[in-house]
Amino acid sequence: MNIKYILYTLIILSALGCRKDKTTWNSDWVLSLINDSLLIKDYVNDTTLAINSDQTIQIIAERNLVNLDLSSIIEIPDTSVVQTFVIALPSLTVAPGSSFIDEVKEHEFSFEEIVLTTARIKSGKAVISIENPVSSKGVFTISLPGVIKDGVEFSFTDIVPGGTAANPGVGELILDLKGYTIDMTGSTGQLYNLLQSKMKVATDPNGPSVTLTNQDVFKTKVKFEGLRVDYAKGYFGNVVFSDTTIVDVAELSKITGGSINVEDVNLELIIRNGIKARAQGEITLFESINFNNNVVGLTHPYFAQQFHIEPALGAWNTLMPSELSFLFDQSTGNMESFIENIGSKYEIGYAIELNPLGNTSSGNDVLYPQSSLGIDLKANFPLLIGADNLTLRDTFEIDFKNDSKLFRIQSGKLILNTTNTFPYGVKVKLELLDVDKNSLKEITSSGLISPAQTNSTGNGHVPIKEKLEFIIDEEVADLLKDTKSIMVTAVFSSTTYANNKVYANAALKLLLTSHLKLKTEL
Amino acid sequence: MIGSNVKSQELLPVMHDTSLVNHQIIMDGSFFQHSSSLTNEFSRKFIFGGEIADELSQDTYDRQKKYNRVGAGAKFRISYKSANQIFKSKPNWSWMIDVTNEVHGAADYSGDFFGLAFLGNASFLGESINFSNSSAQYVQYLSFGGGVHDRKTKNFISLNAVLPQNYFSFIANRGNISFSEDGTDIQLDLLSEVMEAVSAPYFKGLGAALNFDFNIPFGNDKSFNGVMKITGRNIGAYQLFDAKLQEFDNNISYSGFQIEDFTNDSEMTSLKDTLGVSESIVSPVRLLPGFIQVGKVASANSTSKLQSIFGVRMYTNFIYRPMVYAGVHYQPFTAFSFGSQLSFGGYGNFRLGLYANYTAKSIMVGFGTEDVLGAFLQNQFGHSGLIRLAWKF
Repeated sequence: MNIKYILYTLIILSALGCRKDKTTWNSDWVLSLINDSLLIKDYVNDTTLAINSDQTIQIIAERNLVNLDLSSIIEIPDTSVVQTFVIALPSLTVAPGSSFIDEVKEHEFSFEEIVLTTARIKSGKAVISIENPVSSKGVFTISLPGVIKDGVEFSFTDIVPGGTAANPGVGELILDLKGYTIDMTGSTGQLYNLLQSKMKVATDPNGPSVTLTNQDVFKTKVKFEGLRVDYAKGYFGNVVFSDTTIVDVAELSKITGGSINVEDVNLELIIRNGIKARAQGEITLFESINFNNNVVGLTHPYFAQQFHIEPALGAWNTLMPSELSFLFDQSTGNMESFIENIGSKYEIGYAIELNPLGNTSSGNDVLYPQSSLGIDLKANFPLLIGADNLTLRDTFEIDFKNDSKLFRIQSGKLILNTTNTFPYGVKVKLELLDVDKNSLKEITSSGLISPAQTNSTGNGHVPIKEKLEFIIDEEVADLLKDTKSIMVTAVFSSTTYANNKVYANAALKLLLTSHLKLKTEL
Repeated sequence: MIGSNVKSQELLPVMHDTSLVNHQIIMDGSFFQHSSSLTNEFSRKFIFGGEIADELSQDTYDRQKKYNRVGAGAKFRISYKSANQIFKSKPNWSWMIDVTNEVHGAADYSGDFFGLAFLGNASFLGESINFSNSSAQYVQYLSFGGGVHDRKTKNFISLNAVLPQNYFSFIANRGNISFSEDGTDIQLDLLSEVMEAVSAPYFKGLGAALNFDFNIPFGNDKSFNGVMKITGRNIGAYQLFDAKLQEFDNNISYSGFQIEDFTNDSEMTSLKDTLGVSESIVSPVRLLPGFIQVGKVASANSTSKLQSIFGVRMYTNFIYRPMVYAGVHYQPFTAFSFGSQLSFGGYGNFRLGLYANYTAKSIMVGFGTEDVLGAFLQNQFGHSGLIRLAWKF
């Protein structure tokens, strides 16, 4: 029997001996990573760039810097309108279907300084509660005279179950008031901030006769909640908007060094008033803050001075905002140095006061749905920008997953083929960063993208083709598994620093391909 | 003599005898790998591990045909055959039980598909790779069960429960990928599905299988005679529970990302979305990798020391081609026999097998191979090994 145990032992040892090493092999892959084109023509439109007759580019940017929230001008507080009725007699018997209350009351909205004669509700609701103290059902009709939508007065009828004086029957409803226009001049049409309500009560036409006493209190309550208006007429009071706002220009936040040279700058700062009310304002501050936290304050003769802004003209669809503009050109202020600071943050201080002299419109201030109040910037000048080592830096999160067993980069290279018609050259550097943004390795290219030269006819630049190679050696490949983001640094320099024109044919075509040796492990 | 001798994949060769056996414990172990186009130098890197040199990948790719097949498997089985009578009217019938752990995989593929996987696309720039009708499947399962056997004729039939533990399959009904000359443009046309057993339990499904042997004597002393053996193993099916099915039906072009894809806040499109993958949970029924073999076996009761063996084997998968074999069995002494056979088909082409048996009073040991040249030569296309131990008491 010993031979049997020897054989079984041999089987077990053979099985254990079958443990194998990993199987690996290499394969070569060519893959396109980025295939894109940056064409200046793509940005030619009504609000960014235009092409001049000599094929140069004109900047016609129009941007909104400040836009004030006008809803704060007219704020209608939540208001409850309560209407009650008690018969004057000790007792009264009413036949089925008979009306026994038909009464109008006026209520006043509680505004501090504002005087409104008309308002249109942009949003808001009415919460209606009805109490019926008699034992049979009551037909309640609540209407708001002067509150109209599409020519129809606000009116609501509800059948409320019966109850007792101590525990009245209750009916409740919530109604959307969007689009209702409120006439706040009261029953005389001469007053303001008033709201009328009307309560009508009838007995159930299919019920018995009802006996009322002077202990029975009929009650309706209409609560207006969250009313916001998009049209208002009256006197809006003396309102001051004052703030210091920071405008971030994300596109410029990536700049970390270098300088630019701009020429023939022509800018217009516009204060816009879309309300039919007089205003007064002041620009207190306009500063550019760049990557080095260098601050350049824009100067202008009218800054820090009070200026008057006329009311908007027209009405509804013909409304024309009143504008007050500040022009900046070569002779005004320090606009060139302000722009050459390449600020990524702009701090604007302002104060705008509505009705500085009180109710000079005699209650004819008007706010329309499209009314606005703010500060705009308009640019209209040729794109003449020189760059000297202007450095842009950006970080992209990326996970090469190079600890994958199936495909792991062993070595290779990234090849960037470019065709450049911009008068700017670029040198590109890549830096691998770990999860804590620490630098793992810097990868520089074998060449650079050269700036394009002007063609013989002077109406464009000659395309120049370049090929940049980023070598991924085994050391870099090993680091890819720890790489969690990649920092791209691009340093721009222009063909000329002064009078550096950009033409309509400006384009940068990019084709980034990878030639990689991958290792597979099973 | 113990009931049957060594069998490659429990098959080659089988010797029939009509002596009455007692209690037996039998252990079978076998492995095989066979291919139409993969040399052993290449396939051994997967069996024993190691780095596949670039030259070997290229040489192996050069050997690939338009259509190629490969299969591999391993099995260990232990069974007990009782000698106790269970039917009054059939004194030789008794009961048996067995437990098996088996793994089986097979694939068919185009030569260029192999090249893409092992060389990369750099070798195929400006070309198209067609891998339509490629497929791969892999299953590993446990089975256990029992049945009845005839101690004299050696006929038996058993019913086994099948418990799949791993399953993976890939089918490309339509597959074509094209690369431009500079590698910047890729065109993929794909209609395929991938299925994987992912359910949480240890066993990913449940099935049943029949195993049987039927020995049919033919001829007489005056004419050509012998025993025809009909063998069935793992004839059955199993259902996977909650398998993950990923289906692809898309025609996409890729020429690189836009810069905006990296700079905007939105998430980049995932590879699955790009490929148009739809995922679902399914519970399909699959055939086991079973087989049926019909052939003449050597007889232990023969007066001739030299006997012929021949037959045909068919697997229940479409990658396996019917395999025919023929050989000779030589038994110089009662306790010792050996033989050899030539086979053609299956997952590859020709193979030469060799086996030997030693039988003592209470034990039997046998070992062999279906591919003796593959054991020694790197330019062959398969490996095979088998061992069988039996103890009679």
